[in-house]
Amino acid sequence: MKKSNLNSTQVNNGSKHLDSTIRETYCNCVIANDASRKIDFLILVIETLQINATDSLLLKAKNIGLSDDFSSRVQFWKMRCSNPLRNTHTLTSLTSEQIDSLVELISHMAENLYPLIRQLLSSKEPKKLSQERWLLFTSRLKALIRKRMNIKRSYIASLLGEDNNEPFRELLVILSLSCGEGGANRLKASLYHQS
Amino acid sequence: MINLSYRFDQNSSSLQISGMPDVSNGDSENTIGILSSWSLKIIGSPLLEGEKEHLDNLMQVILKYSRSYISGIRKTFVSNKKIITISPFGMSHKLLLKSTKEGINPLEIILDDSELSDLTRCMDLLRFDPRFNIRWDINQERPFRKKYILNNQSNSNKNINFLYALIIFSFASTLLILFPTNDKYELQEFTNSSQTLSKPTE
Repeated sequence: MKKSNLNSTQVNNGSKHLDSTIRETYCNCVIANDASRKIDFLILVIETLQINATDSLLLKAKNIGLSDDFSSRVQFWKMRCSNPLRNTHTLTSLTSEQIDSLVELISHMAENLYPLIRQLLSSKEPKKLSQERWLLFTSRLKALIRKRMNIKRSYIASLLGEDNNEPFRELLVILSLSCGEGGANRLKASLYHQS
Repeated sequence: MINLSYRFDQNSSSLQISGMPDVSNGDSENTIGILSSWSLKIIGSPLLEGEKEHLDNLMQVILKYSRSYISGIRKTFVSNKKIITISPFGMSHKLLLKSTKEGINPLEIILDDSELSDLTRCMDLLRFDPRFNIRWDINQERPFRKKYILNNQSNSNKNINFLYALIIFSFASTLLILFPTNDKYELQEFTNSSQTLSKPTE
């Protein structure tokens, strides 16, 4: 593992070099099994943090020039239905182009929502205020999970049943580390495996 | 000689880079090609300063750690020159900085998740900034091997599952041992039937 991580050094002399390096990086890689689940849950967290997030997501996708998959709510919903934990799960998997687009979109949205994400993750905030924020966040996220996901699945049942906020915190950490260009590369790398 | 200075602010972290264009490399007057000094201010910690080599080491560990953390892996990373270490510290993260000057004790900085992401964002902004034409000694983010992720993720869940399996097995075994068998009854029935069978022959 260490060997594969120590092959290339980075030079800040233009995007062409970076693009080709990124393309080479993903040559012998496959999409991780949990990629669609992870992406759908990250979008769910974005929806929790922002009211009417779907409209914002579609508008952002249009602004950054993403493909036709983001032209309508239905197309977008179809992509998200590749998550096997959804109520309306379709037996499709995300293509690498769709993953690239979704990663870019999540990264941009995370950048917009970074102040909110940071507030939730910070340990320096007043304890009472932090508890109230977490209560509001978890109740909204759990309501969305109950509405969209298959609650008979053990993972979903455990998310809804437990008072432990650790899985939700992990999702917020992923979003906080996904901001910007470097964050998008980091998130993309986490959605693939070396074959 | 033009002296340039750029600053990257992210809530709790502020990274300032000073340098000058490398004219021999064809840098424009707004581009830093030669780094002369840098300083990093993390709220609640002393000001960090150093040379390019130190910044390279800092970037190496922070970016590697964040890359692993986003995949759910929390493990210690040591920089190439072994002057900077980052490791998990409860829910937080411990950054240990050893000075290259003699007689100075190592500096320990505890970062929470928000401070770690602030620092990572500062590093990201720096390495993708087109105003810098500097070769950083850092690696491109790469996907991990499946085995590497499984080996490095926390084993708490695996252990809990094993414990549950052990409890269920011992409970079922005890129940089966205590449950009375009907061997004797079947034996009696067999002897009776043999007697009845033997009667007509007499």
